Amino acid sequence: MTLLQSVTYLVVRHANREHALAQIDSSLRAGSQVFKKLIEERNRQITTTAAILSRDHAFLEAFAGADQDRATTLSALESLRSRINAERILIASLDKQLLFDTRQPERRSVPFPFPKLVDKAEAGGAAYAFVILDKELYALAVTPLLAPDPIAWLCPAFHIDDRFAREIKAYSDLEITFLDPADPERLLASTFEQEKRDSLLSRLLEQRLPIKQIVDLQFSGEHFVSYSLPLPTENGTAVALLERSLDKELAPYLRLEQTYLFLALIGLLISAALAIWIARSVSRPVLQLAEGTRKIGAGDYSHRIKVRTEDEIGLLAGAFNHMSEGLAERDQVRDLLGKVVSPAVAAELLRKDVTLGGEEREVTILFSDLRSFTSMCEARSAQEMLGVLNHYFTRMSAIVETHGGVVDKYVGDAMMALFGAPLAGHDDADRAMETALEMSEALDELNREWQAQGRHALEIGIGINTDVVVAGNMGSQTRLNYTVIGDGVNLASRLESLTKTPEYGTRIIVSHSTLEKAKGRYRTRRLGEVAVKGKQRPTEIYALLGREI
Amino acid sequence: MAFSGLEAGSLNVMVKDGKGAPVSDAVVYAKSSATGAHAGKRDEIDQRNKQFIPYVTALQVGTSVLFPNKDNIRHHVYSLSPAKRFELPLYAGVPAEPVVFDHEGFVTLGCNIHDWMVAYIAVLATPYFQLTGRDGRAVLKDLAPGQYTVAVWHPLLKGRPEASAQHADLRQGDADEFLFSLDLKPDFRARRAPGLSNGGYP
Repeated sequence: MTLLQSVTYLVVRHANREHALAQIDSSLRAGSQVFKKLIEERNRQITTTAAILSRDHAFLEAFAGADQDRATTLSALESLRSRINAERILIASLDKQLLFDTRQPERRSVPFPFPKLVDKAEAGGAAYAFVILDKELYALAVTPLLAPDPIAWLCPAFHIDDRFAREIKAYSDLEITFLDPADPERLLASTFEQEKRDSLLSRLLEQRLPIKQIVDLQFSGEHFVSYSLPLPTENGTAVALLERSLDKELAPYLRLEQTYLFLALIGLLISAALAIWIARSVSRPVLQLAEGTRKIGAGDYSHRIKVRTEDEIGLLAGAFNHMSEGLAERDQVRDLLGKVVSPAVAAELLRKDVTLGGEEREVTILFSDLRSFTSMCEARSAQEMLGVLNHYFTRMSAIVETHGGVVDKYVGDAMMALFGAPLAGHDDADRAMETALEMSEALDELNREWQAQGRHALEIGIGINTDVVVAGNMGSQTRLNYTVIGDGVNLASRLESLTKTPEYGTRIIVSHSTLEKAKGRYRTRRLGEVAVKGKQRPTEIYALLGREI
Repeated sequence: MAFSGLEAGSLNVMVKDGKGAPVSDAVVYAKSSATGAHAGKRDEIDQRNKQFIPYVTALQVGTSVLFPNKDNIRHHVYSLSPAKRFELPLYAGVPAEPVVFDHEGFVTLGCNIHDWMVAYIAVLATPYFQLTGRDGRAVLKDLAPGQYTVAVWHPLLKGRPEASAQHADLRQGDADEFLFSLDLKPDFRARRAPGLSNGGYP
């Protein structure tokens, strides 16, 4: 942006200068034409004036009357001179001798300095030319004094002086300086003030100006575009130096440039401020979002982002907040779910859409039941018994979970646990049996505690079976449970009941299918066979005694 | 002052221009029914240093005026004014005959060969006149008792002097001061040829 503006500025500046220079060039050339015309016109005018003057009868009488005298003629010439504002008047005799010069009254009977001009006047009735006389530049008109034939030549001389230069300047709008190359030490006339004249003069002594060419001339600390026009005179060539101040001419362009620069700077400042503001308004919410994401990553779902803009960032922040709320809600649900159902089931439920239906999978089912809990309940408050039961279940379910099992449900003092659902493991049978053994050990510990408290010891029965069952969400559309159903489940329940059989003398009964799946080695005792509903062959059952050491 | 009878009186006159500045070379004169006579007096107007001297002359009708040329060049004095037309072609020294101004009126003099030479003559039908000095004041003295018309003329006066004339009653002696406020034209006389003094421009 800055670069673009700088480039634009430089281009505009360059174009402006080029344009200004071209303009000055052409105006200088046009000005020189105006100058030439003005000079020509004026010379013609003074010639006409001179012609009128030359017919002044009173003067003729003083000049050529009966008793002419030089002093009277000179004083009458003065009167004529002041009448036409000429600097001086010369009179030449017909044989080209100088008779009078109002500037130098004593001068007489010397050759008239511009004889050719007289020849021209003789040929054309009148003539005019620039002349250099006494080191000054004059416009000289030559017109006959008629009585009624020519008796002499009346020559008014108009000084090309500062005043004249200023008059021309008023018409042409050019700075004008008249020079005599033969007399380079001084300026003949100029529109410049003294300081600039001196400066120009010393500049001209250093640098000779080419004729009829536009030249860049620097003096007095100012740039001028100069055009030197030759001014042929009767006795040499003077030069009119026409000039325009480049600096003055460029002033409007410079003003334009400055204005542009100023506007560009303001634009730059505004855009910079805008950029900072936009960056901030974007980066601040983005930083907030990043911070929020970090917090959510760390588990803090309560974090909310305060962005209230209407733009995409605002939408994003809204979505973020919505997401945090959702996450917090899900977390809450998961907590609760974990309490109501086992964490693994909860995770499974959260992972998938909760829909009714199930899948067939191999699951090891563990059933446990407290013996003689009912009799223990007698003469105890329900509250107390619930406390005992909860203590028991807390312990037992911890063991189930430790071994990767899932507590499917509690029914009274009974508990059903699953291994291999909802997630299948490669050692579900082992883990179920390990769980059973640990539960048995845990009960011994609990019994010691209870007996220490003066309570009855309790007995436990555990049945384990492995089978392909249906696992899934079962219930109604609005309320459902993740569980397993099938004959395999019933068998596990039956095996648990069989532990009550005194002949078996064991707390844990395992089906043949479970033992078959187990990879570890266990101490077991074959108990016999039981007929199983839905199967033709009876199933072998075993008492699980412990681990093989 | 209680005068009566034949004691002579005087008139004090102050002449100012439109801006209140005193006007010099203004001709103040008082006329009455008794002042018409021809005087037969003599006067002179010089040409010296290519100027008429004095610039303004007041005289009574019938006065003969000589125009001596005191320069070492010749002059050509003329007048085209209706009150007196005359011409003294280029001459040096004192002309043989004076010019008699025998009609009341105002005369402008010029020199045919020197544009800047100009002078004025007020030819008056009364012996009571005076030119104002630099202070714009003039005093007419020894006026016979009677009633007068006081008027002022100046070379640059717009209109005729009668237009601003005032009545003066000198039957009881001196009158109060008369104040004239003149409406003057701008001075556009040809300037004296400046010679070499200012570069040739007026």
